[in-house]
Amino acid sequence: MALQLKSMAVIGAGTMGKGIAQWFAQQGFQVQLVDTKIEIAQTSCHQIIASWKKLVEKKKFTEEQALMFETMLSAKSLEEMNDCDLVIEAIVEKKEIKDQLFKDLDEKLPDHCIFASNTSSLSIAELSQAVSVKRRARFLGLHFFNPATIMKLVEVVGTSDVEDGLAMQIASWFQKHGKEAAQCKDGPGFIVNRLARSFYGEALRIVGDENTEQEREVDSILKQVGGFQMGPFELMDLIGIDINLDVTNIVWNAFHKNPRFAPHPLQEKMVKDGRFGKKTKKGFFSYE
Amino acid sequence: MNKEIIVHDNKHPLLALLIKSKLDHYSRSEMLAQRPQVVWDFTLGTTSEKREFYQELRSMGVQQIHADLTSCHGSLLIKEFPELQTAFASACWSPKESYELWQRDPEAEFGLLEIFPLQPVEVQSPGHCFTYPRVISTLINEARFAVRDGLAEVSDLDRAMKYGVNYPLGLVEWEAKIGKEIIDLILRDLREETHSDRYQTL
Repeated sequence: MALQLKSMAVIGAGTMGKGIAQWFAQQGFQVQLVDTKIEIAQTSCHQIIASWKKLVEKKKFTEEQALMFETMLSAKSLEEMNDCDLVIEAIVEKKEIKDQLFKDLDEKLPDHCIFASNTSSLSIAELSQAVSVKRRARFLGLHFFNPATIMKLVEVVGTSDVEDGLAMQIASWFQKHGKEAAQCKDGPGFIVNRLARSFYGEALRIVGDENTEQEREVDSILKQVGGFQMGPFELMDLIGIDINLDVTNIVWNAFHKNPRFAPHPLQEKMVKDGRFGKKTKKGFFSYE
Repeated sequence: MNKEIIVHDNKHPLLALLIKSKLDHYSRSEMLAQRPQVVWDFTLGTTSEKREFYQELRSMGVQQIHADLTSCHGSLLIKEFPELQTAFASACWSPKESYELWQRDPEAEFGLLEIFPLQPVEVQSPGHCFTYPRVISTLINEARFAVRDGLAEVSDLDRAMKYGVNYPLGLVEWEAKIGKEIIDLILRDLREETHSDRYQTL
């Protein structure tokens, strides 16, 4: 089937859903931002519009462009959403909830509509079992990075059921629209969350136990010698030590507790103590 | 005047710079006849191989050693050998053209810049394979497994790390810059000294 992408819907008006919706509207798509309660979707739409106003002030877009984007964007409840060419799910990371959503969408949306999940932790092949055999041929992972309007990468995750060439077509489409698309198989963590694990894990093993001075030094060395933009400890504090540990555990378990991915006691201790990083004002470093 | 020499093997990435240095340079077997007091050690080896070498240097009366300990448990060696005055990780190519440097006496000047003109970043301890070589080796190791598993094309793996987490290079191209042998040596020493399968390789 030829790729036809002019309209899309994002299900889930949280941080990622909002960013994805904003990006697609900026590409000239008709975008429906959908949530269980339309008020949530409406609030997120207002926040996107406010963001465009700021970007006009910064001369990233013209006023005409921002107005056009606004006309492309609409808030909808699940019941009210219209047909579209692409639907991307960006809801809570709970499989049973995603399964029900995909089942409902499968019954509602036309055959040509491509289904995608923005999941970072669940198997795309397993999620696709919620839809019909026919739909599985057009069911992929599209994993965006936060913030979706700025971070160029999108991981395009195919399964053995996806129709030949579709993942490549979608990857090429993203490349043409300024994203960097990386195609991969449906493995735990896809590419980035799998390969980046030891940036944190090895740094934790180097320090061994709480030692602020050593943690600062490790961050500094990896920036000054390694050329990384941020060190692992400040990055864990920024992302959330709890979030980072969750991803580590997901990948570790998916790889049958392979020691290459094992979590570190220091990280587990920080999370147990409620020291998650910037959001709790205490992590490896203090933000008070 | 103290006789000061460079000892190297043919595997060191900075060999071309080292042989241009004002100091005389020798292989490990050639240096036995030299009876130096100060040795700049640019051989590559594991912790146990270096331990054997430094015991040999000690028995020869060498008083001062400055060593590339990229692939060694430097923290152990500097305790066992007070002769070790500096330790550095110059064998691991850096996108910033810099390297980690430990000095027993932080105020001392040993003329490192005259031997190789890279930017030193001072560290409190060499640790085990320092910080940058150790972290980048484990990152590259995982990329090797991902290639083995057919997770993605090499170009996609590299693209993902550059644009998803802003790495300066993709991990496969990064390994090409550092050299497979250096990465293997670092992982081998981590595995042998820690006895951990975390550092298993393909």
